[in-house]
Amino acid sequence: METKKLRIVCYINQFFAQIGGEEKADVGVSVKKDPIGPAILFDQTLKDIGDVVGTVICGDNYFMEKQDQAIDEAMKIIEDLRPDILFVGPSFTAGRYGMNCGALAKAVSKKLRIPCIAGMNDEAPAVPIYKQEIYILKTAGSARKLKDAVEAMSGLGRKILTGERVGSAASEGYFIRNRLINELGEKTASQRAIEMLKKKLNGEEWVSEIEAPKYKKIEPPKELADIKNAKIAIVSDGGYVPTSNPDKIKSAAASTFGRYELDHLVKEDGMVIHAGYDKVYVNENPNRLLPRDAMKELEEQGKIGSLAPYTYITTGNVMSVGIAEGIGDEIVKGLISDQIDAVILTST
Amino acid sequence: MKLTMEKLEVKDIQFADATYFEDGILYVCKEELLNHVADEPLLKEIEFNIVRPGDSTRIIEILDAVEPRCKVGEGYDNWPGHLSESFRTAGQGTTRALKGMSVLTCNFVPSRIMRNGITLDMSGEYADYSPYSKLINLVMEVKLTDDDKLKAAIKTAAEANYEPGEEILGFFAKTDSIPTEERFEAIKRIKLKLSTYIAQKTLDVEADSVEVFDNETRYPNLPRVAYALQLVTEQYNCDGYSESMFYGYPIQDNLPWVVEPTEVLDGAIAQCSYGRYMLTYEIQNAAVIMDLFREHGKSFDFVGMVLTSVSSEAKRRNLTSQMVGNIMKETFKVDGAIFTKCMGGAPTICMGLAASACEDRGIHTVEIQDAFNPINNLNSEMIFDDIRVGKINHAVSFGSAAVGNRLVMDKIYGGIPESPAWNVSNGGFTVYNKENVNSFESPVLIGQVLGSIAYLGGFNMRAVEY
Repeated sequence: METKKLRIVCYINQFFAQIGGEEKADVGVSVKKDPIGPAILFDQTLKDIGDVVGTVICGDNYFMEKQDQAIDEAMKIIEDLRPDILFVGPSFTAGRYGMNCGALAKAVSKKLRIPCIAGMNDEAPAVPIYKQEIYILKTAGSARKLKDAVEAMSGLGRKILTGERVGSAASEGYFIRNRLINELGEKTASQRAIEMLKKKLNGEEWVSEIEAPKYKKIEPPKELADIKNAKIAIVSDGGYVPTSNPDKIKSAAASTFGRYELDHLVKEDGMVIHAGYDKVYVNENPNRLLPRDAMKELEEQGKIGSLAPYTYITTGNVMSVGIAEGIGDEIVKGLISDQIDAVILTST
Repeated sequence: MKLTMEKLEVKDIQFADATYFEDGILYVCKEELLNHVADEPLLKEIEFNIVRPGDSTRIIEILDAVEPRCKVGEGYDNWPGHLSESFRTAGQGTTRALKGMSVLTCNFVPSRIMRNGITLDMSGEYADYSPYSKLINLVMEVKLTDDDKLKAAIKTAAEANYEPGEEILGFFAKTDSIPTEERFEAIKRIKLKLSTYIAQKTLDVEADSVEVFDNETRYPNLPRVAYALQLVTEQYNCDGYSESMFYGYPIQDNLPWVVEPTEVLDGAIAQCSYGRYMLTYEIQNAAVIMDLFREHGKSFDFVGMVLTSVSSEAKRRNLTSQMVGNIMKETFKVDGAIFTKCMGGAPTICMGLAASACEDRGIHTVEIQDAFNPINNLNSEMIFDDIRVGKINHAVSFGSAAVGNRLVMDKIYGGIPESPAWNVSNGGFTVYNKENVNSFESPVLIGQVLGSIAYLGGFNMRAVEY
């Protein structure tokens, strides 16, 4: 019985298609039904299970400057080719080429739901932008290692296409896609800890299982000039929401937030959904989390201008920094458009 | 201090007319066990079952696992302070441990409080993620006198097709049920009494092996090492109840204190409520303590340990971390220290700062910690950034267990039918129906698998970046 051969499509730029260098970077989208340039290597490496049925080519500047149009044009061509997999690049450290590879791969992966694999060096600017959307294999810095890069990309592609389980980023050689999975191993955490301590005590080189994060430096804003006239809002990540939880905010690993009328929330209808602290005391008196009573007093005494009648709430429990930044940005947009001068931000 | 641990290997457990041990089999008499705790006023009944590795069985609503142990000979109390008012502290003499088994305590606790819905699969992929699927477990579903009232409340809530929130809390608040603290203390006494009784009934049989935990000798040529065990955080308290974990005392407000490592292995500490991801069994078999004893005289001089409680505010956190640094430097005079934590973010910070304080004082440190969020990378999950401190990662604690779907099991033990279990995705509850064994819809978080997130370092798991 003949097994169906898989259909492979490759995307390369004008240089790898041997059309020309920088001077040909504005050539538009085209396709060759045969493997061209690196696609030849993909074809050879995966010959036993598939064929390259088309090489899509585009000049780096054309794609960069007319991205939406270029993606549309390329997508039409790719769709017609009915691929089972798309390889983009490898683009090594290239800036524009890498970004174009990433953008095309992301679009194709979303629309056609096929695996899309790139190959880049860690200096490529496209890596942090696209590494979570597609698989990007780590490559050397230059096209001198083209064969290695194609082999790595093909190897991963083969696994995905044949239904084999894709391993961790370290084992397969791709950039981490920000997924953490629990795995069983040889040694207990205690045994590994003692091994690491022995190395430290012996002055040997040791590698931490978790490296230090690189925190952004946040500049504190300037002091409020005129607090007596300031409009102040209460914002909280303590997860106190209306009992119907209308925005379906999660009690851990949340990625959404809500905006609620403060008086109604604190005085009539609210509950703690945050799963990281003992809810009893805030449920008893929500002012402990959202200090409406104290702020109202200050307002009456004229010590602040006014208290905003609404509050923004999310659940900070186990929230990733990236998501927190996104939520913060959104909340700030709302606050600025209401001309809020300052925020009391509470947590637990 | 020196503790002699004699070990009896349990190859199987069977129910019988009397409780005794013969030819590797532990025979358990349900009636004897019930009589032994008949004086507990809140106890209504206990349902006993035996589960073995490979069984098509799931146990739910597990509060704790305990290894049956008892003191051998005169002069020592079992679970001092937990079961007795006048006692000698633990950690010396001889203790018998029944290996290869555990006693699992199950009970539904109404949630005015946090619920964890801890489960154990004895077969299938999820079994791999629990150390307890490799043991023979005696499952005790402890039923208290108010369980029927609670059952009725839950049924009503389930029939009302409630949404998560005030309604379900309201049902329980109106229910005339036993206060949380009394429930937990009663269940704790019951599990400790019964597990001790079982061990005592084997004393006429000689132990299979003996291990001695002894750090009394000093080795001036070896690096001095100590252990800091962070025991409790008040974040997950139930109804404001601070558990009586240490010789029957609540210790969540304690500043760091020194204990003997053998005390921790020998019953000074017992979990009182739900296991808070640090089961009594894990404390009895505290991995770092046992491993350091085994290194004592070989690679290290294991000089001692401290216990700490997590601080929710800055002043106490600062004091706690400096006290740990000072004890390590001035009292223990160590070259290196190992740290473990309990569940949570504040615990990570507290442990990290204590380790930093030691590094500031020239002590090499390694800490065992977890990542939280599975949609992230390990570096971003670090909320504490002292690169001098070596870090072992043992879990992504809000990640999932395994990859496949949960098996449909033949049997489910534990919990009350239609008991709610916490649903992470909406902060409310999923109602679990014992008849429909796989109506448990919550995603299976690793934290719901018994013993998987082993904060004391005894499990061979880690978070891997994909």
